[in-house]
Amino acid sequence: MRARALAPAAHATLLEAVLERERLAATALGHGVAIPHPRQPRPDVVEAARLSVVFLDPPVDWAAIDRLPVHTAFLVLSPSTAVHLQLLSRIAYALREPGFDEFLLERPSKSELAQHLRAIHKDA
Amino acid sequence: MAAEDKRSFLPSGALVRRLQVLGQPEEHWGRLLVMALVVGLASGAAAVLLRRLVHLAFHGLAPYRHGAVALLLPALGGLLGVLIVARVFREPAGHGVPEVIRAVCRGGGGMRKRAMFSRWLGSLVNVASGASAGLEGPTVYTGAAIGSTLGGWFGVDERRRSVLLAAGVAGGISGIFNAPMTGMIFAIEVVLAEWSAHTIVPLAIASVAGTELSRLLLGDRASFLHAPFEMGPRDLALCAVLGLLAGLVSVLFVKSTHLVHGLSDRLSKNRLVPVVLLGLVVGGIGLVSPDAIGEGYDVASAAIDDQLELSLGLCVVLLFGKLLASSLTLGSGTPGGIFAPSLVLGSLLGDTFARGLRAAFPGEQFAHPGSYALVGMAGLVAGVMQAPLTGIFLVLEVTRGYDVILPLMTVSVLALLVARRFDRYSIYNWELARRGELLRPGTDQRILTDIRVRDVLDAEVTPVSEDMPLEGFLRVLKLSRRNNFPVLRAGSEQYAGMVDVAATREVLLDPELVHVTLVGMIMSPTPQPVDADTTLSEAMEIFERDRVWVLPVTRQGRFVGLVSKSSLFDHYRRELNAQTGA
Repeated sequence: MRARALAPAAHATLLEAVLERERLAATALGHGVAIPHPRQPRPDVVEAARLSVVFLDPPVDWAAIDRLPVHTAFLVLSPSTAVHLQLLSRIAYALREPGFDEFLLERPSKSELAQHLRAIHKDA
Repeated sequence: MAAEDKRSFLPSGALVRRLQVLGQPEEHWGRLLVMALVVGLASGAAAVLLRRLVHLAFHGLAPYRHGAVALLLPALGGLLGVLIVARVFREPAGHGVPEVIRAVCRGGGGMRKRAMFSRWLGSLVNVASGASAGLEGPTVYTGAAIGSTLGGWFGVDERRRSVLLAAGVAGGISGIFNAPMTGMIFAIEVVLAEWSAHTIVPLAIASVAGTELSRLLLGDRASFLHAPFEMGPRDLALCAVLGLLAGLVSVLFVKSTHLVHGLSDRLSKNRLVPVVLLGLVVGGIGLVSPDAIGEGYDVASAAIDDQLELSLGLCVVLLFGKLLASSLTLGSGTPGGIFAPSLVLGSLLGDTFARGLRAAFPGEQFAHPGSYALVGMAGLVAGVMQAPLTGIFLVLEVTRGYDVILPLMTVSVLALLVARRFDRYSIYNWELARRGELLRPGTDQRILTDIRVRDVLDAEVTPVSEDMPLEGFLRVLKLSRRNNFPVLRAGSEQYAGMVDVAATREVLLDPELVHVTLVGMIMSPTPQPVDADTTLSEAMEIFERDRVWVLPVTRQGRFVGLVSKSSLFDHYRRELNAQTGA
């Protein structure tokens, strides 16, 4: 995944930032999806937005509002608030698409996922 | 002022209760006029007593005014005067009129009680010893302090206290000159700079009271007796030239006083050193030209009566000798006024001008030299104080003659024009203007500086934490009609940013995003907060610069509320009404 390209020194910082955010409120969107992210945009870590997808086996209880365990986590890293909100908005929009959570359960490849997301937003 | 101080200085018993009833905020005209009457009587009495005592002391010292004693007397008087003002009463130097104007512009009409005595005593000693200065400045200061103090006792608001302060000025000037119109006009033109029924009526009452008291104590007589005025069209034309000359001499007088003031500051850090040294110079001038020192009204009277037995050349010498002596006295910071030197200089200028005409055109008939002396007086007052109406009315009243109104108006306005060509501000106002404190009531600049952000603060706002999820924020939003919400740092009262509901509508209406987004993510770090002590003027600049309608307000970094552009405008309108009496 693209997150691997990050500097190793940033990993611990990012992990702590993401955990800090989770302590404030869970980032589970429902439908088995969570979007962990740091509290603040991190231009010091990423120059451009990054989206890392993690398929969890077994699914994890993430204190989601629909109480469903989370099987897919989108780690969102953004250099700015605007980009962050845009990314979150797109993921949330995709989740409203019937069958998207089932598509995720099939653990699509990076290209399949990208193509699917593009198709959803093209239809929008 | 601390409440304890206020209470401790109040007189006791029934008088206090009576005075406080008089000063209730909902007072009617009658109450204010009674207060103005009391102030006018008190300040008129102080002025008349001061003049009487100075005349007695000045003439009482006359037998000793020769040789070394004559040289030393002004210096000793100046030294004692400064010691009284600066050391005994711990008051600032000079004649005090700028402090009076400052009290109106920036002090809400408040002056210290000790100001009722400091310059009264200081100028008594200083002018009686021969200093080339007048009693009108100290009278203005004393009368203003009386009006302000009585206003404090009456418990009036700042606006009425300023009016009563000016009533004290009007009563004092009216009493000292036996000239009610002059007192009223001077208080309005120079001190209040506000022409409205709210100022004119009480000042007229105070002027009448001060004048009547003066007449009861000293008799009703014109300050300057003179031959009848007869100034024809040719004299009127010549008065235009005299007006220009009066303007130039005014500028010279003001500039040289400023120059001496600057030199005094550089001479020594000890204020007493320039007082003594410059006082010795004044004493030296007095030895050469005795008429150049002292209050000088005898000289003015002689000029008006054409009784100055001097050649044209000596008149010029006396004119500049008086100008130098007055500049040295006033510039050194001793307690003395500008009014008398201006009048004496004006009379000498007019007299010299008339003598010059007679010398240049021996066969021609001109108006009586005293007439030129009188209009010269108005010219110098108009030029030095930049107060043409005061100059015109003063000469009208102290001579009891209306015949000269056209030359008076001509000389006064031309002198004013010349003076303003060189100095935008009068001798009273330049220091205040330099410090940015010449803020007249009812003007934009005054109101914008008077109101602080803390005065219009909206503290009834609900700040939210940056860690609050948007779903929680939506609950706050539902209970509010606001569009802007301040955001505080988590677990503190430190301002972090602002949420503009209109600008973040898309996120707020997204049912999924509101679960996973925190307020901190949608807040904007702008606008930057302003301090609670920021003036309205500064706040307006920030509103314009940042193009925002609401600003967060902090005190020492802690969030205390919001201020909106609309509430500023609303407060501005109310303040304008209060200051203009609308």
